[in-house]
This record gives sequence, structure tokens and C-alpha cells, in this order.
Amino acid sequence: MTAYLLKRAAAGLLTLVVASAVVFSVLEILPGDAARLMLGFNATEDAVQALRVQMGLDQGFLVRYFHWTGGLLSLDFGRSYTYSVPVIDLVAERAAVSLPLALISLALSTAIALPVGVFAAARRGRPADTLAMAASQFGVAVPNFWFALLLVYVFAVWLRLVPAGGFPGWSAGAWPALKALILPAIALALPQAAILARVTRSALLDVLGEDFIRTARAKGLPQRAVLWRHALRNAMLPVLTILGLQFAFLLAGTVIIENVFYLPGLGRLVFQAINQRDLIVVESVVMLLVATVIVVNLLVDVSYALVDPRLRTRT
Amino acid sequence: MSLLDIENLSLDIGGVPILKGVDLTISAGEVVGLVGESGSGKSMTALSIMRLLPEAARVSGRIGFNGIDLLAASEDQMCALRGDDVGMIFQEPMTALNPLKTIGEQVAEGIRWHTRASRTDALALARKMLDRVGLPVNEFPLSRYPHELSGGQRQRVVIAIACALKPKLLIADEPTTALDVVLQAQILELLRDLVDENRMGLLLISHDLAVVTEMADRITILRGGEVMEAGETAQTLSAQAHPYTRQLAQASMHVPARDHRPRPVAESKDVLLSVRNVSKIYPGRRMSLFGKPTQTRAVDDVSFSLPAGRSVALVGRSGCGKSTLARMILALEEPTSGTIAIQGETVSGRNEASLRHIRRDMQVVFQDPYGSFNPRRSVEWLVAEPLHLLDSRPGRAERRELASQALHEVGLQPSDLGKYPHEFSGGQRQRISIARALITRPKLIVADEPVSALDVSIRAKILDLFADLNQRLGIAYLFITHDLTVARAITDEVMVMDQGRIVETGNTAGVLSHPQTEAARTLVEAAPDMHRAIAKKMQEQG
Repeated sequence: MTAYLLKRAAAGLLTLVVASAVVFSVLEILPGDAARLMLGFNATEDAVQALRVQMGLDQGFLVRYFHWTGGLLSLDFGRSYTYSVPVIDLVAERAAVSLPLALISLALSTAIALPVGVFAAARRGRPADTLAMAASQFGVAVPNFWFALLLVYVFAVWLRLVPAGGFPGWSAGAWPALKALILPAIALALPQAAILARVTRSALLDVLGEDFIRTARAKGLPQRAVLWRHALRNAMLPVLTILGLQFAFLLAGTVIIENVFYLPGLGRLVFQAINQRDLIVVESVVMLLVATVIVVNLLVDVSYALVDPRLRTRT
Repeated sequence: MSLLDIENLSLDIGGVPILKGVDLTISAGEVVGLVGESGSGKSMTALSIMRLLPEAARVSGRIGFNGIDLLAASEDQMCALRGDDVGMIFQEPMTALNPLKTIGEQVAEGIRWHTRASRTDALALARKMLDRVGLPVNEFPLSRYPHELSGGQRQRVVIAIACALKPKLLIADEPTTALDVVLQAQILELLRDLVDENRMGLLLISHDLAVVTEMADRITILRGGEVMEAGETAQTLSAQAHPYTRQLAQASMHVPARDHRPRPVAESKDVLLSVRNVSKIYPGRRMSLFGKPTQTRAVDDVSFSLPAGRSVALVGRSGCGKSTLARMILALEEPTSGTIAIQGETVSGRNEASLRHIRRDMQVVFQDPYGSFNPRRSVEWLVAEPLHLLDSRPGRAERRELASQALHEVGLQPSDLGKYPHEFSGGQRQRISIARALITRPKLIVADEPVSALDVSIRAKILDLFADLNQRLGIAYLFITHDLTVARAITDEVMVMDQGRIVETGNTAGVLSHPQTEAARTLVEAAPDMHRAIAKKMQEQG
């Protein structure tokens, strides 16, 4: 068990190192000079050159890479070129919107998908199953920004239950902040829930066809008890895998949804930073997202081992 | 009154008739064997009793159990009966247990469900039951998981689950088919004892006549969903009044007509395959982070040679290393040490290109005729596939000619070339895999349990085919099997393997009738034998 987790953690760390190198190199290759952008196109060549030296842009690739990664380790992400504030402050402020958003939609999609998947699997081939799967097909097919606009129209414009966009900040109290996040969270969760429900259903149906299910039935357990006691935990393994992968998509999905709802989150931040060639911000946010995804997948690996005893004894 | 009384049971699934008017009775303390070939409806009869049939199944007739009509019982009544009064065990022990629950939990679950016993009491009873089926506490604590157990041990756990509440009737559907003969004998003995202890009725389902003969008081023979014959086991099988009974009995003891005269000296001196001091060591599991990994010696210093045209059996229990040795001979795996040579040319340590002309001389036939073909390719493509091993690649027309010749060799028609694997029965598919092995005119065919997945009548025909090809084409065989009747039927020599070593070799008839080593003796004694069993039964009954 320990060896298994150490191995997974080491793999995660290595991924992080490789990702940092890739992120840094790719953004190096992209055209656009940060110093020129900050000073505007009317600035003199000398002034630009002076700023480049001040920002350390004149130094070699490797020097800057190690400077940057060293900074990341000590939580010093550098200063934003456009906002002229420490990137860490910028990121922390925006993450206070995006992280709750991602977590709420993850919780929401799981809370919708698991019951629907189990319900459909238990009624395989009956009208309820067909209906649930048709609904999930719809959920997979609908683009989330379109669904977001629909939600805004119904719940904000028509019913006036929640604001149509913007974020009052956590300082305005938890309830107004949550109210601002609820529609974006639903919009993000819908396609994920649809996929997850389908995966849950098919994983359960696979397990229900296994020999040990027949053994459990021969013990005298009714179908329902077999489903809950034997099938569900076995079906969780593929579901956990998809859940881990989905978290990455959720984070990526925030870029679109935050723009639709005018939320000051990481997604908007990175979108604006790319437009303004604020490379240091882009690099930092991307690294943060990569790290989050790696941590989430590590958690998935841990939960695998908790669910499956075969992984605990394997090295 | 009988314990179980099946009257005129008919079953169809989606309009296809599976069972037609089956009658069968079992009394308390009685063992009834249900025999038939695959698709005859044996398992469906068992699942009808348990009422665990697929949803599309339509049943008619009557199944009386202890005064209850099972076909009319509600699902709640059935749940109360299953696992309490009626237990069932299945063919495949490797997958019959939930991999995420401990064996203790799995045995205790049924006990708690039916008796509302406390967790502690149920676990205590589970412990007793595991002791009873031969899984003692010091080696097999309740906290063990299924993956830590071997196939035979898992089957004992399944038996413990089924028998925990002392059922009145136990249904065993091919309980030993997936196990080697020694484990089979142990499991059958355990079942026999449980029947005697609790005056349990046992319905033993098997395709193996010898197993049923040894175990059953009465026998029912099924074919195509109909009962062909039923009666006392020994009488039925010795009288063989029904033609199908005779056909089955003869097929299961079939020995192909072979020429046993010693071959000319010059011919048999040609060493085709030579194996010298071959070992294979697998690195085992590391017990702690810094500890040394344990090693498994799968094959341990094995030497033998196989003359051209000779048919040799490699027999042993499962896990003794026979398949590993076969894979090394086929150059699918590298030996850790030692050398393997075919016609004087070393096989090991070569790259694929230089192995080509060696591969041409040795081909393989696997156990499972269902899993060994790409389902999207035609028979022509499948059979002609090994032709790429030839130095001069034959053209289209020639490929077709060679493939059709190979099919003819194994008793299939040239018109079968355009068909796909799913259009053939199990026996026909095994013929196709033999045709595929023949097409390069190999000198050696390694056959890994080539008939153990086949029904007895088909098995007899495939054994005839192997014998015929050996005679006509002079192909040497290395037959890997745990089934001594196969070894006896088709080989000249036998090698007994045990824990990675070859412990005994010699003339097949000699070794099998007078085994010298412990390993060989265990195998021979455990092997079910129909003649012996009938004689014993007749003697018991006077």
C-alpha cells in the first residue's frame, strides 16, 4: 500500500516537472515581447531594453526557467506584467471564485450522475432506463455555454431568482456569493453528469453480469441487496477514473463559463492574460491547474487502493 | 417423497426451446448426476430450480421441492430458500467470489441474511465452515481476500458459502471442470462427505462421465433439452441400453487406433527437439520496500529430447510449469538458463527474423478454440496466416490452394474457406486451428490442452485426427495436458512434471499403470476412471 502510494506520488511529481518544462518552453516560443507590450508601441528601443534587463528577460532560457521554478516552489510567482501586482495575489483572489465553482459542480455532477446511473442500471431496458439514457444523451450533446445562456434566461431574466452574472465577492456574505455561483456550477455540471451517469450505468451492468453476482443471488440476497452490497463498490473503479479525468475538464470548462457569467475567476484571468501577453500569469495559472489535476488524480489513486484490496497487496 | 421432484419441465428463451419435458427426482442423501454435452440444457435445469433464469425465459411444468412448487413461488419465498435450503456452486471458482470482500464476510453474509444472527455469531459460524471445507484458521484467516487464494481454495470458499446453512439440496454445476485432477478428487471427496454428514441431496452437473460415475447414485442423461435415459448409475452405464448413452460412454473412453510398433531405429534416432538444463525464474513479489524480492522457479533444470515423429505427453498439475516450458520451446519466452534446440539449431537468444525458419517447423494448437481466432477474418486468411514464415511467399492462388489442402487434411471442405469463425462449432474451430498449424508442414506441433474445452464426442474425433496426422505426416507432438486419458489415448511417451521439474518419464502405458514417483502416483490415483468406478459401484451393490 505504502509502496503503491509512493510510486503514484513520485509519478505525479515527475509529471509536474515535465509539465513545467513544457509550459515554459511553449510560452517562450510564442511571439510577443512582454516588455514591449507593457510600455506600449510608442516607447523607445532603449526603454524597452532597460525594462527587459529589469525583468530578467535578457538572461538565458535555462537561467530564467530555474529562476521561475525556484520561485514557484517558494510561492513567489513573480509580478504580473499588466497589473503590476504579485501574481500570487492575483491568483489567490481568482481561485477563491474558480475553486469553489469547480468543487460545487463536481459535487453536483456526482450527486446527479450516481443515482441516475444506478437507477437506470437497475431498470435496464425498461422505459425508465431508456428515458434516463435519452436525457443523458441530450446532456452530452448540448454545449455548456448554450445551456448556460438558457439557464440565465429562465432563472435570472424570467424568474429573477439569481443574478445573471458577476460576483459580489465572499466579503458580501456566503449566500449572495453562492447564489452567483449556482447557475455557472449547474451549467458546468450538466455535461459531466451526463457522461458520468452513462459510465456508472455501463460499469454497473458489466459488474451485474459477473459470476460473483450469481453467487450472491444463490446466497438468497434479493436483486436490490446484490446491487448495493456487491455490484456498486465493484463498479466504482471505472467511475472514479472518469471522475478524476473530469476534474481537469471542469477546470478547463471554467474559462468559457466564467466568460459567460462575468465571473472574476482563474478562467477569465488566464483568458485576459493570454490576450495581453501577460505570460508570467499564464504560466503560473497553467502550472496551478496542472498541480491541482495531479493532486486530484493522486486522490483518485488513493481511493482506488481503499476500494480494491488487490491494489493494497501489489507493489 | 423425494426432496426434489421435477416434472415435465420445459423452458424456452426468446422462443428457442431449451428444455423439453425434463423429469428428475432427488431424495435426501442421494447424489444424482446430470450429464450431457454443451447446450444440452444442464445448467438451465439448475438455474430453473434456483429460479435464476435470464429474464426472457419462459418455464412450464412443475418443480416440487420439499412440498413447495418452486415455479409458483414468489420471489420473496425464493430468496428465503436460496442459500438456506438450496445451495449452489459453480464452474469457475476464479470469478465466483466478490474480489472486494474478505472470504469471511462472504461466507457470513448469507448466514446473517437468513438467520438474522449477529455479526460475531455469523463470523464464528463462517470460521467453522471454512475449517470444515479444509481452509484452516492459521493459513486462511477470515480477513483473506479471494485474490490471495488459488482456484481450488476459492472453490472451497464457494462450497462453504453454499453449505454454511446445511442446505437440504446442493446443486453443483461443473464444480471441478476448471481444476486439475488432484484438486478435482479433493473437491469431490469434500462434496461426498458433506452429503453423508447432512443427508443432503446433491445434483451434480458434469460433462465428464467418469466423474459422475464415481459420485452419483443415479444418472440422468440429457441431449438437446430432452432426457435420453435415467437410472442407477452403474446399471445404466454398463448396460448402455440407449444408443446415445452408448455413444457418450464410448466417446469418453475413446482411444484412437494407432500404430504402436516401434519405428525404424534410424528414424527415431533423429532428435527433433532437444531441451538441455532449461530453467525459468520469475522475479516474485517484493515483501517490503527494501527487502529482496522472492523468486519463483517455474521451470527447474529440465532436460529431455524428442525424436522426430514421436508423440509425447507432458502431464502435471496446474501451476507445475508445463505451459511455461511450452512457451520457451515455442520461443515465446526466453529461458533464464539452459538451451533449447530444434533440429540442432538453438532457439533461445535469437531475434524474430532469424527465428522465422525455425517457427515454420514448429506450430501450436491452443486450448480454447473460441478465443484463438480473430473473428473478423475469413478462414482462408486465418489458416494461411503462418505462410509468411516461408522463404518464398506464395502468391494468392497458391495460398488458397495450400489453405484448402490444409482444410482437407483436417476433414473440412474447401468451400469453408470463405466462412468466418463464428459459423463453426467448437470442434470445427479446433480443426481450423489444427489446419493453421499444419499449413507450413511443421515437424513439431505443441498442443496445450487441445481437447479439454471440447465435448466428449467431438474430443474423440479430434483425438482421431491428431493420431491420423501423426501416422500419415509423421508430425511429432508435445501434448500438454492434465488429463491422463488424453495422454493414454494419443502418446507413446509421457513426462510427469512437478514443481518445475520432470520427475518421471517413460512409456505412457507403463508410467500410467505403474507410476514410480509420488507426483505421478497422485495424478494417476486422482484421475477419474469410468471402468474402475462402474466396477466399484457394481461390487458395492453386490
